Amino acid sequence: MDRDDLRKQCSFGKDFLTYICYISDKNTGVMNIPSSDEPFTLWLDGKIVMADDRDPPPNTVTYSGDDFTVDELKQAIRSGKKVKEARLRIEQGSNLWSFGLKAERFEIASVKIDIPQTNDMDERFFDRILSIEALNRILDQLYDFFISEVYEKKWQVEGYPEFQSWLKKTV
Amino acid sequence: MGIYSGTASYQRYRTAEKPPENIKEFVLEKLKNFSFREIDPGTITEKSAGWVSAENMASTFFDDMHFAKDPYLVFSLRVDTRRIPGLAMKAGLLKEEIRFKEGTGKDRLSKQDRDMLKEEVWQSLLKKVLPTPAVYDVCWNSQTEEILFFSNAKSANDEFVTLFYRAFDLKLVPLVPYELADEIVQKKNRSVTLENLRVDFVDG
Repeated sequence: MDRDDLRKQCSFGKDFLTYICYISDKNTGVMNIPSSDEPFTLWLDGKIVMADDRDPPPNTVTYSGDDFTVDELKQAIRSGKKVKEARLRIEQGSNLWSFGLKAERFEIASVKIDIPQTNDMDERFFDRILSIEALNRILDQLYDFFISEVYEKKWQVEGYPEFQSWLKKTV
Repeated sequence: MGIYSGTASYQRYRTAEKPPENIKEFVLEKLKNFSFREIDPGTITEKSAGWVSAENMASTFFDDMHFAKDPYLVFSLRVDTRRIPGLAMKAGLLKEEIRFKEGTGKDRLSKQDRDMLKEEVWQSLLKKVLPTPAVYDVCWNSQTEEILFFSNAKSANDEFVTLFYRAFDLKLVPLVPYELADEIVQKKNRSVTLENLRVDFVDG
C-alpha cells in the first residue's frame, strides 16, 4: 500500500475528533495536556457530524444547535459512528477560538478570531497570524497527546475500559 | 475572508524539501516570475492563475518587499476563470444551427457540422465573457516552514499546490492526520509503522 492510499484510508482524523469529544465531556471541558504551557478548555460549539463509513453508503447524522446532548453522542458512537466534523470552542487564558474542524484533512473552517480590530494592516496581520498559530499549536499538542495514548498501548490497557464505562453511563 | 479580515478557513502545508537560505530573495524572484497575468479578452484562454499582493489583488508589484513580514512571507493566489453560462451556450448554438441550415440548405446537421459549430460558438462567446476572479491568501512561516493556504475548497487547494511547485520548485505536503501522526511517531520511535496503529471505540 503506498503513502497516498494510507493517507486516504487513515481514520486517525475521525478517531481524534471522537476522542477529544469524549475527553472534553469526561473532564468537563478541561484539557491538561502535558506538552501544553497552560491548561485550556475545549467544548463542542453547536455542530457535530457523525458518520459510520465502514460500509457504503456512509451513514451520517448531523446535530446542530444547543439541543444536542452527550447521550446522543454516546448513542451514535455505540452504533459505530465516529465524529467526522465538529465545531469546537477552545479557551486558553484570555484567548478564545471558535472554529470548525474536519477529520479527513484537518481543515480548519471559519475560525472566529476574538481580537480587537485595527486599521494598521501589519498590526492586524500579526495579531491574526499569531492567534491562528497559537490555535494550531494547541491542536498539534492535542493530536500528539492522542497519538501517544494509542502508540504507548495505554489505550488497550487503560483507555479502552475507561472509554467503555463512559460510553455506558447515561446522564 | 483570509489573513486580514473576517473568519479564517485554511489548510496547513509544509514544504517537503528545505527552501534556499536566502528565502526572501528567492521568493521575490519566483513571485515576479509567476505573478498573475490578466486574461487577454481577445484570446480563448479560460483560466489564468498567478501570485498577487495579499494587500491588493490588482497589484503584482513585489519589489518593495511588502510581502516579507519576518518571519512570514505573505502573498495571494489569484485565479481568474471565464465560464460560458450553459443556457447562453445552448441559445448561441441553436441560433448558429438555424443560420447554418439556411446557408447550406441542409435539413439535418452531421456530428462533424455540430462539433464545428459548437467550437465556433464557444470561441466567440468566451471572448465576450468577463473573467471571475478568486483570491486566496498564502502565509509562509519561514522559521517553521509551515504554509497556510486560506481556503478549504479542493479545487483551490489543487491549484495552489500545482502553482507552488511550478513557481518555487518545492513540493507541498498537506498536514493531514496521516502525515502529522507519522511525524509524531517518527519522533518517538522510528521502528513503529502507522499501519499498526488503530483505535477501537466499540467492539467489532
